[in-house]
Amino acid sequence: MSMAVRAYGGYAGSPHRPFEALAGVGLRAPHYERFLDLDRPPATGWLEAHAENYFDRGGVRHRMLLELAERYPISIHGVALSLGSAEGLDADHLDRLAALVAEIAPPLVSEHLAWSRMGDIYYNDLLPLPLTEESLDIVSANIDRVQARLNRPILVENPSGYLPIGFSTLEEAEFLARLVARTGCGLLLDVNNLFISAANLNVNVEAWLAAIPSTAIGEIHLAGHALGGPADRPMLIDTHGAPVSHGVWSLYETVIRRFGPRPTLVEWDSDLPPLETLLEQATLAQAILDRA
Amino acid sequence: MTVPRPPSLRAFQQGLAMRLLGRDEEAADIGLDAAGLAVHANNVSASLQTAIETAFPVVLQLVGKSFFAALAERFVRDQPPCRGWLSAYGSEFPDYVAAYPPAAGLGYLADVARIEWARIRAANAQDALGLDLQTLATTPPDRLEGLRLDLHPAASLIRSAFPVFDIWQAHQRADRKDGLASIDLAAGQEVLVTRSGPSEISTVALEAGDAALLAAIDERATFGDASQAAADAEAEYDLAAALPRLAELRALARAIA
Repeated sequence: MSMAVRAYGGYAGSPHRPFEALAGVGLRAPHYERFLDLDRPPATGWLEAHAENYFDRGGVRHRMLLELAERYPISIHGVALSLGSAEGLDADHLDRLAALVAEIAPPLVSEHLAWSRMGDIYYNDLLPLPLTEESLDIVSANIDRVQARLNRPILVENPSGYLPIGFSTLEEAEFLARLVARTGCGLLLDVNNLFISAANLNVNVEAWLAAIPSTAIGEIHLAGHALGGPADRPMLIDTHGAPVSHGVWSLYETVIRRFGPRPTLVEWDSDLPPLETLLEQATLAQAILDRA
Repeated sequence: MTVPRPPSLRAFQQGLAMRLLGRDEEAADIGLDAAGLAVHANNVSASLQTAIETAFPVVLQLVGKSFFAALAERFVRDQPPCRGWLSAYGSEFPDYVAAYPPAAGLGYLADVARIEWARIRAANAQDALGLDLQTLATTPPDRLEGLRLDLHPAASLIRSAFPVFDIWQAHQRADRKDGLASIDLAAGQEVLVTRSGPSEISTVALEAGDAALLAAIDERATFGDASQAAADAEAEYDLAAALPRLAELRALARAIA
């Protein structure tokens, strides 16, 4: 591997403010009030906010995020920057992300190995890329531009896979490793997504873990999935709408034992349960981190 | 036998995009796995329809789940978002509802959608100072007449031929439809939506004078002309009482004297 691979600490926030390997939960609007409750603040190591929910410069949500940022470390997770776009990045989108990052000074900033925009349409999904040398060039150039604009490295997340692309020439872990080497970015390992891609696209988990530059992993995501797809081609679907499955917990333990503790986030989006349910899931993750 | 050359990333993305948002009948077969593609096509359509459903909960209650689903599916296909942040997505929905043939008999529906969109705008608008009454009070009368005020950037005025405030209000609690039966569908209402506090969104029905005043200000009339419009609309309109009330609601932007 390349010498450009940086140590874990390089991605874990600014060198001046190291970010501990604690468990946290995703910040969702129905839970704002709970986190703003001064008398009984919910105990969590950190929160993660979806960047695009705060792209209006002002307003009610923006104000709540600024208040929360005084009480909890908040990482910023982009879901729509479209790092995989052959057309390049949307300058306004990047400007708004940069403004938010400057305001919050988050310990971690992350995005996805995916695309969401084509022409004038934003598709609101993490669409898959053919993993080729051309894609590697394009994604690297887009990441370079983001990191130059934000003046910091970002973490890039492995997406959940559903669509086999026959003309891909690189394995996902190899593609991510080369992105790390070329751009100096870090990685966000979504264990649920890896589990799903293994089930749906026959990604070999052992080979994936062996090929990934583990020191570049600055964050881990956990979430629930569901069984879906047509009867003759059942697939796991990344719903973020259920507790983390046994299989994903087991893979998470393997990852932590092998690579060491990392800041770990429990995500939940659809059928959002009471905050307690999320916090319980985070407690389970914390127990695994504490044993490592 | 020659191996077909793989598409460029751009061509691949154009091809895949054409299979999304229910446009696949027109699209060429690009040899992608149908089941995998279906997962993404469903993610795109379902997530955008959910965004519209979340933004317009009263419209949903008024027309029911299946009517709304058909409406939202068509809207999402005809007017998909162009930006990667969805707080701006749905601004075109009220006009779309107004022109949606199956809703032609529900004249009030588009204006109810306008109230719901105004509330989202109010929540997301940039922070801005409201009208400073002191500035008005210290402006000499001759200059006051010609002053042009403006609505606060978070404020919206909805002037409807239907009692849309009462309809909207009756749907604020899912378990009770208070007073729906007693609403007179022939009576129009004028509704003001504002961000009245740091986290408070106000939705109020206006008397004729306040509505005429704000409508004139919104059309950039001078303060003198707007006051006259209010007096014409409501006998004994009390402008001195109205201004603090509207300032309190943050209906008006800071005046540049």
